[in-house]
Amino acid sequence: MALYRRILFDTAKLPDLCAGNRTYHQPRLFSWRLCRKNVQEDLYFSISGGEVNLEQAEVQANAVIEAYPSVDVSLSDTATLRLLGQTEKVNIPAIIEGRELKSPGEILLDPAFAKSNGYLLGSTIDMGGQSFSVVGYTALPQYIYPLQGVNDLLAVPASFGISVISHEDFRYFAGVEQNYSVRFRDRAASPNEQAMRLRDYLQDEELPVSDWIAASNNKRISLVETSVTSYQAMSLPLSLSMILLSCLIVGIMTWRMIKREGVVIGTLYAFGYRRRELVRHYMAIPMLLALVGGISGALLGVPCVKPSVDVMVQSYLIPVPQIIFNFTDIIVSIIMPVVALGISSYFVVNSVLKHPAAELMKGNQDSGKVSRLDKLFKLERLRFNTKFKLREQFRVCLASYSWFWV
Amino acid sequence: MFLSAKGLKKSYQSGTLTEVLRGVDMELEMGQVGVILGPSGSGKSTLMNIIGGVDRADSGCVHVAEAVLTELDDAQLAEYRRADVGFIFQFYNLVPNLTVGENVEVVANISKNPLPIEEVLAAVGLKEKKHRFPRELSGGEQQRVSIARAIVKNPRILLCDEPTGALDYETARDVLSLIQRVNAQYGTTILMITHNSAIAGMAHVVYKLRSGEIVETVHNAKTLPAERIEW
Repeated sequence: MALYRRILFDTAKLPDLCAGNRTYHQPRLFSWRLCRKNVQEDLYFSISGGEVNLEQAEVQANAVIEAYPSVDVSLSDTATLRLLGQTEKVNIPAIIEGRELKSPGEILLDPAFAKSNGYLLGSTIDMGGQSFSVVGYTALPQYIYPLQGVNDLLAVPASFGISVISHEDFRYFAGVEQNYSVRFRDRAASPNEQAMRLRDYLQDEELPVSDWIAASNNKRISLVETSVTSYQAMSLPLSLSMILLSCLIVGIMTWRMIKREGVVIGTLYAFGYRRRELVRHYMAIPMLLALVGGISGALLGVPCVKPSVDVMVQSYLIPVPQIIFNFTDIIVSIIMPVVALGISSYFVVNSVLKHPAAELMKGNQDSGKVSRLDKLFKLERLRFNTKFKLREQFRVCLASYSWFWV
Repeated sequence: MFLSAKGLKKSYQSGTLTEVLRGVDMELEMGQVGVILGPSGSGKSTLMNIIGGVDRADSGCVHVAEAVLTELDDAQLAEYRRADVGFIFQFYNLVPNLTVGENVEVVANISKNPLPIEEVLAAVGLKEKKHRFPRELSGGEQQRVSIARAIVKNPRILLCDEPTGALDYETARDVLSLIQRVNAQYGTTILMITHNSAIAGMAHVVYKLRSGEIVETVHNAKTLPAERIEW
């Protein structure tokens, strides 16, 4: 199981991203890809009156700034669709399925919302007195986690979704707001300082800013990272504990096997076998187990990577490209249990084989010592059956304790 | 002298100090059969283990051929056992999941100049049962396998720990006869421990061990063939 988890969490990797990332990083990787390729905003703002001179603002802030309209439309008593204007420079929509917008009257939908509300590709949505044809499913870099409000906690695809339509189509709707997405050009400089310069400029221009949310404070963007961190925090210790558990089980199994073969081992010693030869011999079984486990774990785990990534990203709007497996990671996932079990088994095998041949040939390594439990209780007054049962329990307790510390 | 022990002492600490050997002196010529006679607890097995290099004496000195066992370290003792010593045990100590042939091969595999396995199996009368497993054999046959395993490396000394202890009279005589034949055929020095005094007749030298001391050493001018031994 540990092997299975290891491969499950370790093998998938995007070809165009750096090495060393694990499957639990996949949402992060996909979101990074979305951020970079589709130019995720560093902040967005809206103003409650007036209009921003984009050219001047871009120069002042050394940024790319794109304005886009948005409006919330109720499709039913429970479902609200946020219409966003198509952008070309910042927060460019990524097409998950279908095609891009080509003409007015077309709409790109959030796939989770579409699925929850039964909008298939090619179907139509009537709103604002117009009929919009669903031509594609989209993901937006600023709505990786599509929360209706920035302070909301949970995205509910059945009741809220996002969509993209052309700018012209906004004329059918009332209450349209103008938003501005900002992407700073200097990626090395502090985003906060650059944001301050932009804010100063807007104040100088006496433009009243109503919303101002940096990407780092925007849960629609940052929650995926938090989520990945929690996957990571959960997966690593779990995988390691599974490997440790495997080491413990195989170690106990090996220990019992070797103890049972004490007479044979003692005999082999007597005939001149060296300890390292016997260690090598008895290490073969755990090594073989680890190797077979590693390989079968890889074979079983590889097909499960894609579904597990899909489960991880199902709450997020992230395009999931084809997963390509990293050969090095697969090899490591096979070798790692061999190394872990090898080390643990080596100590176990050595702990038994260190006994002298004469002792091993007696077929009983029990020191014959009386346990403290046996000495602690005076059982003379008890009936024989009760004493016998208690003594047996003491022996079992002592044996369990010895196993634990083997 | 091929084998000599002088002032061998050995004691164990298990709650109280138990002196198992209290200054044992013994000698055995090359190619002779020696029998150590003594009751249970007299220190026979401990003495044999020290001579076989699987245990160490607390004090005293043991020479086997050119080797001074009491001066060897663990690795050298392993080399000594590997090259020079064959063991035969009361309860055979065969590897249960290996066939007769493989049990012999286990030892042949680590020997520098092993005898041919087929020849050894033929010598102990088990050539036809080469592919049988130990559990498919009688006690006598298992002891024959044990003898084959011990002699396949062509050891200079063969140490037999109560080799007939678990066998019936007829089978025991067969096994003793085989051991005697090994001594005659290969010139192997044999040291046997037993509590059966009748076996002393087949030995060149008999050491009577009591409470960790050799109380008497008897040199037999004439040894009895095993077939004529009765008890």
